[in-house]
Amino acid sequence: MRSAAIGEWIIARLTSRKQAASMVGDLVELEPQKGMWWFRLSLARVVVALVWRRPVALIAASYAGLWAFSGFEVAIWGVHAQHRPPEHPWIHVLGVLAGTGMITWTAAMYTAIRYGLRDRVAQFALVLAGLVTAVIYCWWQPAILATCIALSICMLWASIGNSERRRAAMVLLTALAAGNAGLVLATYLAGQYQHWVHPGPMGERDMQEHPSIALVFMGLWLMTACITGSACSLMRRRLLRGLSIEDKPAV
Amino acid sequence: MRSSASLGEFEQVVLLAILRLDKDAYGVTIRSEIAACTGREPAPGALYTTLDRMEEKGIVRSWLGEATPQRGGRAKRYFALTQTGRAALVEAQRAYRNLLQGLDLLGGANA
Repeated sequence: MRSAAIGEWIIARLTSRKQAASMVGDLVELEPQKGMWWFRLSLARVVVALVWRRPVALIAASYAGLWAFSGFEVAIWGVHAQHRPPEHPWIHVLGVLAGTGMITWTAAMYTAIRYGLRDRVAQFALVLAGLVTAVIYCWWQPAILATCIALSICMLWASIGNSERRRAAMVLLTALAAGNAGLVLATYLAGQYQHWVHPGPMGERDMQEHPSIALVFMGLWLMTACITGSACSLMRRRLLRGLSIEDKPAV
Repeated sequence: MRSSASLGEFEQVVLLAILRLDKDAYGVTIRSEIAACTGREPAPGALYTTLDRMEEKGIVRSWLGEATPQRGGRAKRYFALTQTGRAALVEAQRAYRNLLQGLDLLGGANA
């Protein structure tokens, strides 16, 4: 049957070939009772069920990262932050932390949508994102800073407590490392492109005259979010997946 | 004591269906067992994503069975509960039983 073969090929792109074959086999087995249209509709529903979380998670994660960074930017370099001098030595550290926070929020949103809030990686990512945000917004308040550091130590302690948490922490750290590397690359490429299109400092008017710059920035940020999400999925599959499909029953 | 794997309602339904089917639990039979016992036919997508998620969590395990001509030569994927899955299901059902204690929900006027 042609539609079964096509359906199996599509599903195999989203999961393993063996799983795809068994899913389509189930639907083929039921087709004589339920009819051709039920079969096609079920095939489409299986594909949608397997695929919908990925694009939604990626779009939401990209938006969450940008939204977080715009907030960090205001908190660190904004007008109301003038009481903290911009030449303060901690400002550079906070700038780096803002980049990391952006990636952490991206990873948190991606894992929360893709795997749900009960997922250990999503939980760690959300807690870490919250801590980074608190530090960026309240870094000059010793009590809050100390609390955040204490909570980070507690989180670290909890993450090495058992194997599952250790693996989840490893997944998150790898995703953050990959995301930050992607962000450094994206920043460099964006700077190069901007310099190539319009050398020298740019104002709002220059940006309007060269819309390609904003498009390239957006594309590079999407690439960074993709790197973060892919690293997270890949590591999660490798480290946190339980028993995988076998060819014979386990004893 | 709390188990590390907590189960949602649909997950419990699927696990109970697998237990009832014993060695014959694969996509088609699980679906029809749920439909027969609950009156609700689960969407194929929801069933497979739930089974995959539970396998990732180590709640169920799967293996490939025989390929039949009725399935276009495609193998069946059988499912069984792991020790973790069984423990999580027992815990969830115990919680339901505790909540039902003292209530005449399944007898009398509600039967």
